[in-house]
Amino acid sequence: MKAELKECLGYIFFKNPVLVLGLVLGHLAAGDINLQNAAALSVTFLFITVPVMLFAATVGKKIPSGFNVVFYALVSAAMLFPAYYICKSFSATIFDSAGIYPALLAVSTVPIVYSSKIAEKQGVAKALFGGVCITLGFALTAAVLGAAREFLSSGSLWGFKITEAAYPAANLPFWGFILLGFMAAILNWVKDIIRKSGEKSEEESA
Amino acid sequence: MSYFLQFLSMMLTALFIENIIFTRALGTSWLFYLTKHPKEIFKYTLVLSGITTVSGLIGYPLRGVLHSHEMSHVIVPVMYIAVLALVYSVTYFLLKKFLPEKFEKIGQNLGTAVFNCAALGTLLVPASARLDLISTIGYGIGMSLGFGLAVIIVGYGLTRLEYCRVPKIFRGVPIALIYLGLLSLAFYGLVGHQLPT
Repeated sequence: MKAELKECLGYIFFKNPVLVLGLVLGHLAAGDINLQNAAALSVTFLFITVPVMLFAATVGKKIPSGFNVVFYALVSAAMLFPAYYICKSFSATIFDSAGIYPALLAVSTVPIVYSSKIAEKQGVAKALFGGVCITLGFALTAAVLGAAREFLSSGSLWGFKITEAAYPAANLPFWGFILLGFMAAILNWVKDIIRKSGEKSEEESA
Repeated sequence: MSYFLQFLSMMLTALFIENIIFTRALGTSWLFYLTKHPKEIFKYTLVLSGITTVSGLIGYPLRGVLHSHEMSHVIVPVMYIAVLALVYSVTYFLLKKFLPEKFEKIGQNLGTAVFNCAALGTLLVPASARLDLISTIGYGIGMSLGFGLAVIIVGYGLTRLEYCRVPKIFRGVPIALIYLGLLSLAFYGLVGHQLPT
């Protein structure tokens, strides 16, 4: 259990799909401009990633090489419908307001490349576990970025006004890239501290 | 002549004013892959232009019917993914059958070159703006060329950054993202936009 938790934390922080592996960057840089968009993107990511990784782990090897990506893309596309309905049950506009970005997740690097290179070689349980943990890593990054940009651009969080000060330029993609860059640097800094403290405790015990 | 000018103006708009990477951030992961494989830039830009032009032509009449649907935000992308799947399958089969040498070279990466955010985004942006056929094709080709242009600019900058003394925690993904953000801001100003206040 402890090993699984450690592995999951690894997917969330040290192998974060966005901040460490550099995947699914564009959706967050351009589409994740508030907490509602972050929720829509995270729900869609969950509904796409987990079924496609399960599909890859179970059926992927049986599909002729070269055509597996076609099946993964079609399964991802089909999963947009349940994601749309779940988002709609929370709020009528949450999915539509994120523009084309939730739909673009269907052909993003995680369901297409990650499934064909990694999930295909895994068992069902491992693929399911990996899919959920990768989604947690994506959702956490999306929530932090969405909250920061919504607060900066309109002084609110999930639509609730907190301050009058506003900087609308925070909605532009360049702000998304720069904030993601700083978030990745902070993660590197935390990793560095953890690594150093681990080395120190090893030296002391030796 | 007016059709040609319309085509050209949409192509230049997509290439510079609404660049696929700097203003829409589509295909960023693929961009970072190509900056490390510069020999593939031309090949990929060509594949992207071809695939999106053919898919745009096939999807255009269907998108007109589907746009009026309540769930067009989902149905139109699903339709375009199905069109991409069809175009990919036909291309794969034709390459394997008639050009086996070319297939050996590009067959392995063809799937990821077709099914990515840059390709789908190139089809969805003109669809959501409800552009006519000439503009859709011009915009698609402009976005594909814009992607190639962005890869060259970003790749050149990242190569130069390797010779700079970047603080340890900023090395790798962080500095690449910050550099991409600054380039995006530069493009935003270059085409005459002003920051919203």
